[in-house]
Amino acid sequence: MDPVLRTLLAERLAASELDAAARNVIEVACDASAPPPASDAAPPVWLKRVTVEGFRGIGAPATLALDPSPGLTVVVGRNGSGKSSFAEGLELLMTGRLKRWEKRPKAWTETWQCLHHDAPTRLSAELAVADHAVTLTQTWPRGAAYDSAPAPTHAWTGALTSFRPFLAYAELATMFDTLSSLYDALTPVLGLGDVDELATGLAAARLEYDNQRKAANAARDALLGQLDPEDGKAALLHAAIAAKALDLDAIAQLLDAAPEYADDTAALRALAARVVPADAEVDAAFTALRVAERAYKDAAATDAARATRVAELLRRALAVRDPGKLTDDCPVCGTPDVLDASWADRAEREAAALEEQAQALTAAQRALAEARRGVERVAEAAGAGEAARGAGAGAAGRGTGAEDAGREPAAATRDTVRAAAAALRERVAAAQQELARRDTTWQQVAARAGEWLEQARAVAERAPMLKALKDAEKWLKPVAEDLRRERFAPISEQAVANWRELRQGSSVDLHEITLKKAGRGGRADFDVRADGEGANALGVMSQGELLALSVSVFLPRAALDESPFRFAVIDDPVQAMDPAKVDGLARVLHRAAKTRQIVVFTHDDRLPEAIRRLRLDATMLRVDRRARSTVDVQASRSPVQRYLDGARGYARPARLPEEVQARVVPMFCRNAVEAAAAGIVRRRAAEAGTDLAEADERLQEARTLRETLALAIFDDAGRHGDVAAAVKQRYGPAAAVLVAELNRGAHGNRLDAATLKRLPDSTRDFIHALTTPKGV
Amino acid sequence: MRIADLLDEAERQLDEFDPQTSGAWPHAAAVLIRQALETTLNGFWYAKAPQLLEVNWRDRWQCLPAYAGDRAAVRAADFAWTALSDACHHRRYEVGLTEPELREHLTTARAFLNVLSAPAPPAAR
Repeated sequence: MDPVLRTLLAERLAASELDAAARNVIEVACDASAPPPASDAAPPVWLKRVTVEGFRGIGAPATLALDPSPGLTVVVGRNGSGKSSFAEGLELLMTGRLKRWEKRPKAWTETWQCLHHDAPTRLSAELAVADHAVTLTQTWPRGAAYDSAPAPTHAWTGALTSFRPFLAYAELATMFDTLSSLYDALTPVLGLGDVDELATGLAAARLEYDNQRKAANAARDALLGQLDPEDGKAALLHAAIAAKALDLDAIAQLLDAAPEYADDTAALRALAARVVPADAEVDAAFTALRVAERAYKDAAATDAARATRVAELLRRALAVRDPGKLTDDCPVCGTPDVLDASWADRAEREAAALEEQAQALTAAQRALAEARRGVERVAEAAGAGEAARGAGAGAAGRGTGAEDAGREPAAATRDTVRAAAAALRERVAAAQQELARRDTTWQQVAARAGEWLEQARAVAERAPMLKALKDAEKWLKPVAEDLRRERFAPISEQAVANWRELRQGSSVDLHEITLKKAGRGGRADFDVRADGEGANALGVMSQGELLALSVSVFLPRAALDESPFRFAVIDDPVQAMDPAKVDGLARVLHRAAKTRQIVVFTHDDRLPEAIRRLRLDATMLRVDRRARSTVDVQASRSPVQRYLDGARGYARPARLPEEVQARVVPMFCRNAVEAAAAGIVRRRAAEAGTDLAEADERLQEARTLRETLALAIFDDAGRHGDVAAAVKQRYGPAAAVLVAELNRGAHGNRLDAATLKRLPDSTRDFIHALTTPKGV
Repeated sequence: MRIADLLDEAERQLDEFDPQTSGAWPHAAAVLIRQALETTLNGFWYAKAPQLLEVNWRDRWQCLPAYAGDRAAVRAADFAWTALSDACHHRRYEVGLTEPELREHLTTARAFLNVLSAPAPPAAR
């Protein structure tokens, strides 16, 4: 960014009440914006010499030599003299194009090469840069298109777009055709493009953020439409997402946990989780039961109760026997001596056998109960639990009852359990399927919700940035306007000052020029008032006034320090200007020439005349085009000097046949006197503050030498009869004789050789006397 | 000097480049062509009606068609003389005639010389 602009912006930023975030946004954007164009580094350049060959009105090479320093140079030449060929040649050479020919039909540009020249077209310019010279040269073969040459390469290519130092007449006339083009022309000059760019950048960033926010909102709406409010989990998510103040963390938790909330789903989940026994498992349980039953039946064939009781009796009997005695009587039947050691031995064994018998039965009973529970478990798992319980409960719960143990479970057969298992297996599979379906839907919703959540998080994160951007944009808009005004103010002021100098007698006043941003571009507004009426009065301005306004705006632009061009070339600004405006123009150009090399091409002598009369410094050059487009540039002096030079040139001996000299020299001398007299009349009018146009009109009417002299002497052309006497009285008899000789000689009446010889000097003396104020 | 020689001298001013007279040559050529026209005209009046040599230049041209016939060459000569007279005086802001303009006046002057040297048409008074 333009450093000056950057500083101005920073100052305003510091003084603003903008919060830190928005301030930061602007600072970052300023730093990021492109550095000032390299053209700024282009060295200051002056014009030293322009040489043109075979281009438009110039055939043989012609050179316009200029002094590469501040000053005003006026190049005068009749239309068709080739003077514009210098201006346009330079423009083509430096820019590779010609503004005047753009948008013109092809016929305009087909004959751009000089018809009187067979050699290639060659343009060259010598530019003075600091301590050395740079020469640009370009050659076009015969028949080539003017825009066919490669683009010029020099250090000022970049600066040319911003600071074009050429102002062609066509441009002068059309500068105000579109006010937006003027804005476009002036904005880069002031570096204001950077501010525009800054604003554009902020707007683009804001738009991106805003679009992201909008996209997130759209995604949220779409998501809400997909969430089934009947589905518990989805309903919860719906509520969370639809909430005005979003709790993104809560939503994230909701998505991560994916908990069950619906009873239906819980039951499904339970069912799906069930392990259904395989047929083999069922078979095994039933087989185990049958084995247990058989074992039990075998055990039950003995009387376990009696065996227990007998064993108890035997144990008691053994306890009763006195081990001290060898034999003892039976305490029950009284049989003597039966309870001996062998009995005790027998009884002991029998009791043990009986006890064992009783224990086997108990084990078979336990095993059976266990087998029944196995069947019940299988049946339960197979979904045939009711039937199995009805059958097995008795056996399991009634302890060791031998009679119950023999009973087979009624309802739960192997086949019913297997059937139940098959049925249950189907239900489990269905439940699993349903759950899977529900999970897929959720997963999709959850995935979308997850995506949205990310978007929403990004938006939430960038929300402060978006606000900062909006604040920054809002702040920048009026500041940019302000900067634009401030930066442009010096140009505007200078242009207004120029205009006031130039307008001379125009009722149109220019108050201010402002650059306004409008949409993507902008326009230049001219506060132009006619007769003090506040109106945008461009429409009421004459062509001459518009030209003056164009020059008013162009010159301050050319004088900007930022421009590397120390020269400015203006082609024919005088057209359509009245004499008073030409005086203004001369002053304005002269002022601009204090710091710049101003080269003005003009088709007549009005501007040089004004410059001479106003006694402004300027170099005057004349361009003459002779046969075969031979163009000659000569330093131009005042018309008086010019005529005297002509007289001397033609009076040189042996230059021409004497008779021709006699015909030509008096004419030059007479014209010198006429020019001097006209100068007196015009200066007198200017000093008296009367209208110059009127003085010019009176001079125009004075057709002869005597009438012109009468105007100068008496301020009355009608008194031409008194001229001879007055000249004799005021300037002496020799002067009177001279006037008579000039009149005769100019009309082909031969003067004698001696008279002819001294004629230029006599004329000079007379003019000197004529123009020296009386009484000095 | 013959009128035709005068015109040749004028043409020389257009064709030849002399740095000493740079910028002055259009005026010199103009005055020579103008004087050739005037001499041609005066020669005609001298032969036809010498009293007309007493009136001013404007009137001498004005009366010419009545004697020499209303011919294109005559009208062109009148026009050329007016333009050249202007060019031979100092005129505000004018920077002289251009080379093609002068060349055309030269052609006009030659044609005028031929026309007036030829016998006058019978209609003349």
